[in-house]
Amino acid sequence: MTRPPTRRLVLTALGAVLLSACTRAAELPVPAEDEPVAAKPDALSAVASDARRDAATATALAAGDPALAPRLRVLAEERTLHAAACEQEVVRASGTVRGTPVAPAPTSAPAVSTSAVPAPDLAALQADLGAAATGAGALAADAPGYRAALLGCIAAACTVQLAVLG
Amino acid sequence: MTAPPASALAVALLAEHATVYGYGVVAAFVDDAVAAAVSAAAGAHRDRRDATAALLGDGAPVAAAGYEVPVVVDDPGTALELALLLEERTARAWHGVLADSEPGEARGVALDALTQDALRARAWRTALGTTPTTTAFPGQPAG
Repeated sequence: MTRPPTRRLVLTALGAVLLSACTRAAELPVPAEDEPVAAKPDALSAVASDARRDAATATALAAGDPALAPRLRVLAEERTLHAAACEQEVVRASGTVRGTPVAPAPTSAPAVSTSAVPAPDLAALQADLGAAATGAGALAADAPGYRAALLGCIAAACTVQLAVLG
Repeated sequence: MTAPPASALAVALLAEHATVYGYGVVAAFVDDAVAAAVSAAAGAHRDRRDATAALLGDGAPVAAAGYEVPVVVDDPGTALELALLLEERTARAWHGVLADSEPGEARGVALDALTQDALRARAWRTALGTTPTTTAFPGQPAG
């Protein structure tokens, strides 16, 4: 026959539960402010490399299309700025998470070997810009505020560039 | 629905109120060549204003009786300059909504508004003969 639990037994058990809950809470990592939802790998790194790719394609296309060259050069400049802003944000976020500053990313575009770049193709560039606008917009929906604003700008700029290319 | 951040969204609504007013001034001075585009832009901002007011509900700020226009408009050129300023200003307001909001419904609305503002700003720069006709970060505050 089981005895009813004594008052002391109940309080002791309750205390143990509370203590373990507190311990578990203490073990949880404290999320850093503005930490990206999916921290690894940083989604902005892909946004940055897509932007560098578009800048390289636009620059290559400009060389062979004098009529479109002024527009393509502006496009290349904007996408380079997008890449730089994303890379800066990746560095900032990783520095915040680890609590130690990280060396800044190189400011110049990494050298691209011409043999690795496929022949520039305007239709492909347009498709890539459309995908960049959609992708950045989708990321903006779930990102912390600062990133949402950055991604929103990039998405809007890509949509406008598509309109410029007609 | 995620509750939108009242302050940034209210700022965006105030910007839309001022822009709807401003386009009235623009429409009075522009050439026939861009009149249809101006009319479409004004209509888009009226729709955005109404949708934003509906999103804010009872606390939505109402339009002022009049607004100070940031440039002197007395010909088609200055009218287009005003149109461009209006688009840049509303773009900044919607950028602010993206920056200040939590993930949720206001984000989609803000991104669409920012994109449409940027497209119209490009059209007005083209009409003005300004180059480049685009900016890398539409809506982002300068500096």
